[in-house]
Amino acid sequence: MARKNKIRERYRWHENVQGYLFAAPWLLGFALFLVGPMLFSMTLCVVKWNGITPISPDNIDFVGLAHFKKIFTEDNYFWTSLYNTAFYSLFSVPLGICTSLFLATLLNAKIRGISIYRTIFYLPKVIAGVATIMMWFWIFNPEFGGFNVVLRKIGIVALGDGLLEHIPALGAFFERNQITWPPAWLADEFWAKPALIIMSLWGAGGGMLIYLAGLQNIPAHLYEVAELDGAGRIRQFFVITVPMLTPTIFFNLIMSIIGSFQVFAQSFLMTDGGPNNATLFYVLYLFRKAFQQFEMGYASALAWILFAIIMALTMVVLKSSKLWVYYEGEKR
Amino acid sequence: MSAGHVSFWQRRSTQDRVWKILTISLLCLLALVFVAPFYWSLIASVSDLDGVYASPPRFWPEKLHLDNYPRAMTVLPFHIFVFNSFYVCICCVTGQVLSACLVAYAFARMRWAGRDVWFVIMLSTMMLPKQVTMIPHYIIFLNLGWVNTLKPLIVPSFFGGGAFFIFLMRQFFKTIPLELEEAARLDGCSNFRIFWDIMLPLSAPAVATISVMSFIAHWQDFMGPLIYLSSFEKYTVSMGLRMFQSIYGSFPHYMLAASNITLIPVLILFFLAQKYFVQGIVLTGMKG
Amino acid sequence: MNVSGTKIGLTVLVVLCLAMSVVHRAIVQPPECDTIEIRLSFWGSYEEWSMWKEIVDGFEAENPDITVTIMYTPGNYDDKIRLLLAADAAPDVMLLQDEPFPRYASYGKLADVTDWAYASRTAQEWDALFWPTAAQSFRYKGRVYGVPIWGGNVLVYYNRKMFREMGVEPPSDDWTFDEFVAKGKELTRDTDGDGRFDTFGFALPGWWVYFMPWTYGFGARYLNDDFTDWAFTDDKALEATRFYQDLRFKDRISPTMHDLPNTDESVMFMTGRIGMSVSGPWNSPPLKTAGIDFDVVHVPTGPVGKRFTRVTWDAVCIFDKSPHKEEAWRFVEYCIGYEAQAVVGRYIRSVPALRAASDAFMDPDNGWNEEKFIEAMDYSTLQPITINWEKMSDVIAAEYELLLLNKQSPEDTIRNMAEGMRRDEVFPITNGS
Repeated sequence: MARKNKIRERYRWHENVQGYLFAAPWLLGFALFLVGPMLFSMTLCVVKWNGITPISPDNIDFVGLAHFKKIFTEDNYFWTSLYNTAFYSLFSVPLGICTSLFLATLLNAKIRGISIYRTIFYLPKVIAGVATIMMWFWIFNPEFGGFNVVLRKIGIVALGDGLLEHIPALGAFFERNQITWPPAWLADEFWAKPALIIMSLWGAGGGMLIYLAGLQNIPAHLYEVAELDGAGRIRQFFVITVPMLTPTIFFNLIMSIIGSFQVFAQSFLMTDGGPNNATLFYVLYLFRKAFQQFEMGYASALAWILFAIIMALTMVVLKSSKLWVYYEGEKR
Repeated sequence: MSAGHVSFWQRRSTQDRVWKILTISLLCLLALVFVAPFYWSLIASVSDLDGVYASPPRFWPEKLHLDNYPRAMTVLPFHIFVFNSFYVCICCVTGQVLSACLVAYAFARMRWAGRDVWFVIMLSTMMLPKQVTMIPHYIIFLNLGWVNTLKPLIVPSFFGGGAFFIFLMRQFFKTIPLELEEAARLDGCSNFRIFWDIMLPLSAPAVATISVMSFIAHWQDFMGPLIYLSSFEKYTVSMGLRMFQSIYGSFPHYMLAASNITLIPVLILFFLAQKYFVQGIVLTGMKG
Repeated sequence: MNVSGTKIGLTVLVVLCLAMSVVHRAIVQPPECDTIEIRLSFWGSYEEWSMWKEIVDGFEAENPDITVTIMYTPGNYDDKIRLLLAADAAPDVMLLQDEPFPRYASYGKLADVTDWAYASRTAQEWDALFWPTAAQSFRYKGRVYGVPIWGGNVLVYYNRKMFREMGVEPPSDDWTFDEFVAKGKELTRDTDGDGRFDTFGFALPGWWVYFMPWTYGFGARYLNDDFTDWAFTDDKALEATRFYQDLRFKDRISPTMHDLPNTDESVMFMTGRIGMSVSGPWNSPPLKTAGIDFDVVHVPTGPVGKRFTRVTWDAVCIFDKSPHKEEAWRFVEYCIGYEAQAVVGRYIRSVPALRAASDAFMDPDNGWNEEKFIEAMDYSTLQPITINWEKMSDVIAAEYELLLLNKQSPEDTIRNMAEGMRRDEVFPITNGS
């Protein structure tokens, strides 16, 4: 009996070693590129250092929680950037999910040539990057860019002019806050964030495919039963489709929130945080503090605060999921 | 449902047709909206300066200036930028695929102490915003002397390839029938032989998917090159375009021509490998 | 046994990786190990990088024992250099502008190169090598800390095609301020009959330094003679300020935000919506690329009877704690030699500091009169540069901004500027430079 145990033990040991060996790349990466840096980052939060000078007591000052204190009490840019990011997230995430869902529903139809449409909607997500940012920069040009040209052509600008004239309160509001009409988009404090939100909707194709896959997994008999009960298409959508998709929506919601809070390239390349800090997003501010002003400790503190905020939001969504996410097979 | 005569509008077939027409028209309209930005970009990229800043703006250029494209390419050494991007992408894809498959096999089929704990830990790293580790990474690479080289962009890919790809591969490995593996074990195959000779060959679709996704992600990467690269010879296309913008930002026709050029490799890859793209996203959604 | 697709794919990938890394190594060319390496830092666009590359290649060819490593910093140059200076890790040779130069010199980290500069020349000969204001700009407390390599003054650019199409005579070199305003008015027209002006005469410079030809032309001065106190307080200053504002709001030769919503003036100039602008030689390459038919003309003469324009210089400075100061000086000497200066001249982005290299700047066949930049060196004056340049510039810019939005009268502008100088402790400067 003992010999059998020993063999088994040796086999176990062998398996463990092999397992760790195979997983070694990730485990090493986890230690070197994740845990180590995270600990390092935590120590950075409590010191003042520019990151460039060599690591020595002369160049690094221990400041305790001074960074955090400054961030929360004195730093206006922190609050501005947080507001801007939250604004962006608050609008782009729900709108994005709705758009993706809507597109997916449309694409679920059995129509000839549906794959062409699918390609068109998904393509923007594929080619995203600096090139598309430049593209949108041109499109949002107030005078010559495609967006305003189309708005003028289809009369929305004229409509807006009319509204501004005939509704004095609206006109006064625009006047007082120096809001432009037609919108000067990225050159106007008021319109800059909406412009970026619109830009993010163009990339709704990514989520669309996920929902499409989810839609195709919904058993057809559910719809058949609903029809027999006399439910119309729209009611079917809200009573069957959406609940069945809630797990997918849930996952997407979390990933979207995390992603939207990291918005950076658009504001870096197009507006550099302007006009008047209207597009100063959190990560842009962090980037500036770290790589332009070389305040590594302060920037690390900002990074951890971002992490905390994202975690908090994720927790909220997670906790709330019990209320609205419906997993098949659960009793309701 | 009451018996008897049903009106035209209440008839199922009519309703179906109405919905179909509605769907098609909405699809057309939305497709137009989604294609419009491309259209504007293409139009502007083949106009000249007066055409681009014409007042009132034109929907179609007077004359096609296709020479904008070669000119945009020669103004800056785009061939170097494209090469560097390819280099980084190919290396990263190789690294990510190899290491993700290795690690995924460990999670999928091997039994080792702490496997499930590590798996959960790995999944949770997907939610970490990269800004937390961005600064320490920079400092580490600065002290290694790797700043202003392409190494910081490439080397991390070899260490696991990212939780996302590991997860995808693991899900895929789990779908491979256990019997194949058991048969091989009976024959005396080591874990590595099983991995190399059974798992990998059967995973071609999944490997293709993550290769394509990895390529695209690294081609688009902006923040990495922004932080680490400061010499022209090392720029990738995203930095190259930014450099282009600082010089020719007021010349939308050149700017957009240059931007469109950098999209070509991605577009080609997309149309060749469309199937894998779609699959990849579908696999993502399956988690939910 | 058949080889699976995946394995083929992976093998291809690995081979590609290795092959590309070889090519990449070849492109990047790491420096050879047995030479002395000096680091050169600068900012600018790709063309400036090409210019430096040519100069560096020429230097390395003549000095095979030295390798120059280029540290190119496209953005936030000031922050980076300041940090590197503070960390004693600065590059051996740095390109610095004249405006922040006194501040940099005051850090005490720049090498005093006076002895090297005067080794084979007298002080007068050194100054005479360059254009009048160049050498002067880079002396601090009487010692030489920077060696000028290029710069530029500003002239009036005009869009020849627009002038021709609108039937307006091009300006002549000896025009006055009144003639300048009249020309502008000829160009300001309502071309489509909608009651609003569509073309304008002059692109009012956003940055106040570009308006110096007019400010000085009224006889106004920002600082007193030894640059220690603020002097922009007299009637002449008031006249100049009023003139600045009137161009936009009374004479209407410059557009407001409502006239042309797309306020990128360079674009407006290029597309023939604004006829004249003021800029330096660095403005010409983009215009040439865009195929604009343009030319330059000397700045108009003001009531004071003489012409003035601003000039700005860039210099190379050596880091005081560099381990290779001798080699760095050899590079600096090369940079002000004829060969290197001719490279600068050929790019026509800047005027070479070395007077003898002016011929390289001039190209009789390129269709415009760039030689006027050289001619204008005769009447170019120094900018009001002191150790507090940035603070001063901030105060001035803030007040001018209100002036040019018509939110402040010229009198208030002048008064607020003077107050701002006191309040922010910009002037008077007492510790001398």
